[in-house]
Amino acid sequence: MSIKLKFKYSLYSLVLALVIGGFVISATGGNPLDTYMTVLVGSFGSVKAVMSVLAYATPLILTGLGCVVAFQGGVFNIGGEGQLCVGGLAAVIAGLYVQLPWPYGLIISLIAGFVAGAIWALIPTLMVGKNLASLFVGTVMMNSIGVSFSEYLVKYYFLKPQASTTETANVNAGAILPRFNPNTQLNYGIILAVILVFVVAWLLYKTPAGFSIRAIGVNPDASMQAGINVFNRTALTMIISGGICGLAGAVQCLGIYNRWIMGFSPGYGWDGITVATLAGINPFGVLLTGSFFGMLRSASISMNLSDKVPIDMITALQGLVVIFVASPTLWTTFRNLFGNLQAKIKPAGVTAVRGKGGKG
Amino acid sequence: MDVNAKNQSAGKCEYALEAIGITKRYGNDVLANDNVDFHLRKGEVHALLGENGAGKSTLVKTLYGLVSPDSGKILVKGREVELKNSAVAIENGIGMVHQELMLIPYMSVAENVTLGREITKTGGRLDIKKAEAEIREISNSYGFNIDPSVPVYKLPIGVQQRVEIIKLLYRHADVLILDEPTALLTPQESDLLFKVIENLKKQGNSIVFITHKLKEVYQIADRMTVMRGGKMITTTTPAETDQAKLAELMVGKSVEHMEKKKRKIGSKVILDVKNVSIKGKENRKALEDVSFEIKEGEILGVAGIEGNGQTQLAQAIIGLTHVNQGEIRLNGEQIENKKTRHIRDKKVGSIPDDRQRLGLILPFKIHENLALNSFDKAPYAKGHFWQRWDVIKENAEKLVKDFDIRTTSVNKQAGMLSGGNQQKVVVGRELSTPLNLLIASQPTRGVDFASAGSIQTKIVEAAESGTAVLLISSDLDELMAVSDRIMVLLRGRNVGTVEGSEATKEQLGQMMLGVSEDSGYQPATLVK
Repeated sequence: MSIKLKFKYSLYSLVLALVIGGFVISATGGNPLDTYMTVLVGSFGSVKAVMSVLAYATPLILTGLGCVVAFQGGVFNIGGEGQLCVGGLAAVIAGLYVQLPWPYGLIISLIAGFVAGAIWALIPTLMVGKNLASLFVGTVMMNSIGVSFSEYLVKYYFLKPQASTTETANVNAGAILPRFNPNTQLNYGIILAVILVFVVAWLLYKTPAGFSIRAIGVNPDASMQAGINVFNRTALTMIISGGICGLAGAVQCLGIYNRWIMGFSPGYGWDGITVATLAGINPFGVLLTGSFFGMLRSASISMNLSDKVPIDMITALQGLVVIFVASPTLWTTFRNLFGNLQAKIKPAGVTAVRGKGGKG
Repeated sequence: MDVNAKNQSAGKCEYALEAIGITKRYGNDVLANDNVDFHLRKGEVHALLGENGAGKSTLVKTLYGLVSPDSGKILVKGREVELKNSAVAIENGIGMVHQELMLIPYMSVAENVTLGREITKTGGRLDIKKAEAEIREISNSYGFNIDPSVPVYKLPIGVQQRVEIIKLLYRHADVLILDEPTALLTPQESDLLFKVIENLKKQGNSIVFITHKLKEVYQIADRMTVMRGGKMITTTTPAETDQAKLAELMVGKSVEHMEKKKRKIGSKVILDVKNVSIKGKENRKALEDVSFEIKEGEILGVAGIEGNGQTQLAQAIIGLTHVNQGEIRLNGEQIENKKTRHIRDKKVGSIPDDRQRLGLILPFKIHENLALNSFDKAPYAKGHFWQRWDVIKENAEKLVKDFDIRTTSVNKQAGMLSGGNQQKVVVGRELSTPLNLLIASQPTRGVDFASAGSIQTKIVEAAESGTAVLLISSDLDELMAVSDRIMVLLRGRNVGTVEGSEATKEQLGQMMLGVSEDSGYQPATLVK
């Protein structure tokens, strides 16, 4: 499918999701137009609102980007959440123990986050070996292991003294990802995310490694025949994908919380799958869709404050979008339906004339 | 009752199936069918001829409800019908046997035939006995000689094809579309198929027969329709048109036949295969103790019915199938069970037998496909971090010209090309650099003869420049025209090698079937 068509379908899906979501909102007693208005104003009504949207978008762009790499390489990496959790913890541990001035401490921490995420993605890859088809099961399992493992490490080795929740102490000042403004959660992570979008695009479309990753993603058999080492390349794909997801965790921990805290991710790793899918697994598309979901998240908070509509409505909307995007047959069916309809309306007159001619 | 219905409608209309003014455009620029008329008379064998990309596939897919035309209409026995899908086509008595057979190997003939139209007892239980009886009846009435209780995988490909035909007869189809039915068959099996077609015709069925092989047309067709460039060129009879004229009609210009030249064969052994055995499915050996060598500039043909170890042999040489015993040497260096990349770096090219699944990445652009085996090397790549797309495209333009790949741009997806041109992309890629060894598996299968000719010429040219060639093909004419020697594989064993200049079709066919010359010719109808 061409990029144009994918974009069109994504847009249609969005509109359809909003329409159906509107019915659901009115069914629950709300006013859909008011609700959507609240979302828009809550997202773009002020500089602060926009900054909030971007702050929520940052981790989504990163995890989305991680998923784009994996999906392009034909691996259904659904282990983003685990990779993110482990990556965040590794970055924080580095930030706690490496005594270096800014920005060196920060750089070391970010690298630690990337490496941890990459390792977490590489483990299932090595374990499934050549049987790559079952890799996605492995990545799923590594999610809960990653979350619980991080929790265990923090509880028993890195717990902040006298802490009431499972959290570490704050990282050294040299490892903090600074915010643009003390009143907002928006930090320099967004710049990192945007740079990474370009890096990933360059990697996928301008390097031989990217060529082989994409080739395997579409047709591993033909790639193998042509001499590409499919296992090696898949491992590379997973390293990059997991690394970026790990980086997402590092950015959240170092930029927003300055520490690792249990439940710091409300499912960014999972949302990354949605973001990547809606973006048509295009790295630049992730900028758009990541921001869109950031907007929904940011809005869900302002909505909770101002409207009767429950926060879950946003989750429902997300789900609807995914369902529609994930079913391209829906749109081809629609297109055929309308095509047939048009065809039936137009030549109706012609048939009538022919009927008079008495051919039968 | 059905027979009565058939006879009644036969009285009304001369034609079993008609297509009138069919036009189909794919995307914006590919006009696959341009106002095509096609008339199939009742009880005739009608050959449909044309090069790849001539629009035959589109036309028959339209007749079978797989493609909906942009305009035009289809008449079944004089009655206009709208064939929304193949189920509707079958309801209208139209059935198609695809080139790739669509059978489930481990199910019996009866189960395969009745699949989707099962006969049930009370409570929805399968009544396989009744099904078998019905199929036996069909089989006997047409002289097919098939045991419905045998699992399909035990049957030779020619018999499997008859199972496909029974599938259609069971669904009361009386218009049968056969898409290149002889592509996979030995000469003997083809002869049997022609007898089957005669029988079908005698009993009032009408047959559309798609083929590239002109000789077959003269063997069985009553009439023939030639298509070229999406247009219907003419409908004629074998008596009115001779082969040369027919070839000219198909290509649009007179065709030169490739003359076999004596090539110089070097003394250096390039590929040396010694006692190679490969494990197959179910503890059977896919290859057993196979030995041969190919010298510099030599073309070794491999004949055999599909599934007798050819694929495993080709895949083993490029390192994609594990060799259990024996050794493979390339220029003296052992290469068995080495990595594909390592082997390809020794200047080994490979044209796989399934271009769509193994040869190409269909959604990728033509230039990307042309660089698939060398994209990470100079000049296509500058170090690890820069792909030289400009060089790739430049080279692709050159290859498109050299190998006569018909496309408007190298930026098109490979999947948009016709089969013959897709194959030229694969061949062009593999032959774009000088080779020590070329493995060509079915390089011209399903390719029109003009393209096939140019592909064969390229392979011969490679041999002339010193490349050792392993040519695996089910087209005996091709093997005999091109090969210096022909090796025959039967059940994974090398059952003999004949000189290319001395080989005859009959001899090869008998070796392929395992029939010795003195025991006389026995048709391979059933393997029990």
